[in-house]
Amino acid sequence: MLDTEFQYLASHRDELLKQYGGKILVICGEQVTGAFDTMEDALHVAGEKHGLKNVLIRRPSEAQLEFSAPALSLGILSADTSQSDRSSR
Amino acid sequence: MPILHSQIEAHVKAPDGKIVQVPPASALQIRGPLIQVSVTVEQNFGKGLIAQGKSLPAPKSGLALVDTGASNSCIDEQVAKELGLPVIDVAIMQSASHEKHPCNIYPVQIMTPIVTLNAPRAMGAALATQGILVLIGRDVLQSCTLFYNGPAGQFTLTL
Repeated sequence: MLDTEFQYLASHRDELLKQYGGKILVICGEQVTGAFDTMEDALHVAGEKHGLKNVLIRRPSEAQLEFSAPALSLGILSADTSQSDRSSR
Repeated sequence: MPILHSQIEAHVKAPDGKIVQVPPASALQIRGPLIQVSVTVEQNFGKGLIAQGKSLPAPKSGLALVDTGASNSCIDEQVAKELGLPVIDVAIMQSASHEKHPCNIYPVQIMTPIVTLNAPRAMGAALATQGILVLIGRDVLQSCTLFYNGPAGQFTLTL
């Protein structure tokens, strides 16, 4: 997924850092289609320009995000959908 | 300030076959802090789509589990695909028991009847097999207050 965009980012990282600094980039194929200060703006313009197409949105300086969810990894979330809950204000 | 207050209910089958209600404290311990939610594309992304005259993906409903152990929120991968959500990055899922593996990142909006939560970078994961549509992780919780009242079997989430 997003192979072209990741390859482009890896091979142009220094150049992109020099040109855009710490901005959040929207990369579609081998093209930067926007540079933004906030994720909110980046998402808004990505939706406007590219619709629901897959595009890479990240800072060129950022390492690949790693995340952890131990209960998920271990398969012990254990929600029983046959039971009910109720919410109230 | 929107306040979501919830008490979890659970029922079990007794040895005589009757369905009996579990005390709230046990229900919360068994089921966890669950919220009925619907999900669609993240709010700002959605505004961009609307600006171009495009329609938003029709929301999908299911259960969200508040998971303070999860660094990031997650959406069921299959549901994300059915919604047609765009992949905007790829992350690595860490695990003590499995090899690290890549997972897609989607911009997601999580809606409850009372609060709407934005998860601009939610991970795609196989949640449906565990009866869950969404995990609400610490990326969303960083802008919330969560009060977990174990003895009462209740929890409160404020934004």
